Amino acid sequence: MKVTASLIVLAGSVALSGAGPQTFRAATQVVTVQVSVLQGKTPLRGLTTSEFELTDNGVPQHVQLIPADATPIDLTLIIGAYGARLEASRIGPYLKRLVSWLQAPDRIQVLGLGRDVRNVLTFRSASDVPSDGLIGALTRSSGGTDPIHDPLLLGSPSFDALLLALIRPVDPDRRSVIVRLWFEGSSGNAVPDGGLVADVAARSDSVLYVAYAPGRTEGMPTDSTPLQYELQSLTSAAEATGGALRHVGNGVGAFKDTLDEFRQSYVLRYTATGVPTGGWHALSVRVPNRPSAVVHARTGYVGR
Amino acid sequence: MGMPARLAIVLVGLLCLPLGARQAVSVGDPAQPALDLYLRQDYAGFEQLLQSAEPLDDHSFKAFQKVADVWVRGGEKNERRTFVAATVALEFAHRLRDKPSEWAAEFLVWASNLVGNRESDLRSDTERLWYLACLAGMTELSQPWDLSAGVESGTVRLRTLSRSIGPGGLLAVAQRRFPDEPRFKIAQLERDEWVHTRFEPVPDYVALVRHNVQLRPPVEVRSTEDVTQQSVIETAASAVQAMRASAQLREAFKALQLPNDFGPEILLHIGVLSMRSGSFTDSVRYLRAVEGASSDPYLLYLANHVEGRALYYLGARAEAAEAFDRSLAYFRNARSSATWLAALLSLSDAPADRDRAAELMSVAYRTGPAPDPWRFYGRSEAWRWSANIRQVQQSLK
Repeated sequence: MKVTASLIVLAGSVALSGAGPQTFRAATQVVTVQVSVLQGKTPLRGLTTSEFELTDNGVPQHVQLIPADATPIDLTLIIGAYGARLEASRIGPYLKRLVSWLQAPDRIQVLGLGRDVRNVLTFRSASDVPSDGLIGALTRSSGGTDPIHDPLLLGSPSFDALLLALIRPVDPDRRSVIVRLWFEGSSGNAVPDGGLVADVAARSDSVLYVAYAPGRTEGMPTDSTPLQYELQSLTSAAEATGGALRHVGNGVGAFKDTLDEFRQSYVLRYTATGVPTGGWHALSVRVPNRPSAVVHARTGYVGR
Repeated sequence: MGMPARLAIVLVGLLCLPLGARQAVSVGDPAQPALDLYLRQDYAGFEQLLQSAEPLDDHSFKAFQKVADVWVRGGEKNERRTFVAATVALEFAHRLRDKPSEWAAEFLVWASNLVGNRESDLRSDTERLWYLACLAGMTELSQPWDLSAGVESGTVRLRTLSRSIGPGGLLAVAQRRFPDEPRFKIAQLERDEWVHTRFEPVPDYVALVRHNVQLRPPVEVRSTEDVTQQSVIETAASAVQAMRASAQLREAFKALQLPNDFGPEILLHIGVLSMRSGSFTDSVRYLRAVEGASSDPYLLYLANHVEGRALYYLGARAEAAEAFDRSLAYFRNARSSATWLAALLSLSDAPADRDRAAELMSVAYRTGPAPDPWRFYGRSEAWRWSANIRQVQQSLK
């Protein structure tokens, strides 16, 4: 979901505490919303503009359906790097397959989780990803560490990476999706503040998917074993963005299914009318004539 | 251009270089020259040597040991040569700190046994400072307390190395030699803090823990649900235990009898442990006392950072953001506070706050991590590695 706005700012900014000078705006605000519609587990295709109902702070809006292929994807892949050093020969081909599913105008960045968050790959076109360089970069991102980490005292790389990806501003001409690939492996007692991540996610312009593979997936980078609390928090975070947490059997299929679902999602755009521009806007998206379909869209946005 | 012509250009180029630059040409095994340079107190030359040598790896220790074992016995003033060799080993280990722990551990264990096995009743200041530097080297590894205090959390190889130092690791040896050294007393509690109190009392998670710990365990573990139920109860019990341990250790820190210089550091630990035991208001009080009692940027960053967490858990979001912001004045771009502050700013409706959140994250993660005291908290002397080594060098004069 993205918001582009033209603003006439009449006074200074508002501080976090709410104290300080007030801002008064008169503006038009163009809002873009990613909407995934599933029939069972399958994306429902072929819906038309007139089938969607969208309200912004309870006010119905006139939406336009943008062809999904007109807005290329920015993919942020978050992946644990703890075992990468030991499993390079297996992970390398796996990562190559991930990149192969991207299309020419799409871009990818990879955040590796070792002792800290590492930019394994900064945003670039899928065709510019070095064919063998990704696994080397991921291995280096692990800092050569053993598959042991200490999230609470060193900071929590998973928590940090999610926030880094969620807070990043999104290019208005692109769709941003974050995929957190979570392969259970070494034990850990990470309890990132899930409530905070979910709150940040609700205001993010990206869609978050978490692909969680319980049990050790041979040949995959290992990660911490999430507590039930973490899974619930991540589910809340993903759903607030219009994404989801998926329990998956293996990473390859999980990633492809997630990317396919996102690629087949609908892009709705409207100029917000009848609502003030600033502050929190609660969104509701429905497809009333398809009662059995499940609609995933973000729960709201912050107007500018 | 043919090979002979290219070779000639390279040779002419090398001959035209000033002497210092010529020395920067890659050398083979650096052990012998490194020991000699350190003995002559040519620390700049030592640095230059290591920069120009091949990067150290998992084979470096064997080459070093072969040379150093002979070198230590190779001259008069054996005591001094012992400490020089042991300190060079610390230097090599430091350069391997981000590699698998065993690589550095071999140097550290060799050095600690070299110093520990001396037949000397003399307790010199050099020896005391050396133990502090060695503790710094050991606690900057992935598993900070394996070698330094005999905690067994790493691989079999690391355990074997650790056991060769003896029960209780280096700290036990150092405390036997210098029982009054305040830093060793603090380190002993820091070890307990690391092992027993790693729990962040996020309020809604604590509420869940308090609920789960009351659950009835399955009579027999038969189904997946039984396994999950048992795991949930065990996790909750360990969380409750960690909170209790935090409260107990807080009292242990309060009971430490140390010179006044150590007051702010002790207050910091009490503040952190108060936070971990869920006493957020107490935590803020202790951490603000650190801010009033110290001018050390490391302590001030940590006090403000943890205060930010405690305030957030108290629901004082704006004050928490201010505390994280204050901490960043001491270590700009440190990721721990930059991330928390950005998260809080991104919850704001004000565009300026949200823009600043994005900018903070962009800068903090654009390159590798900037120095961040929170990454060192609980790792004893690790933060002071450079200062401790400098002190050893001065005492070797």
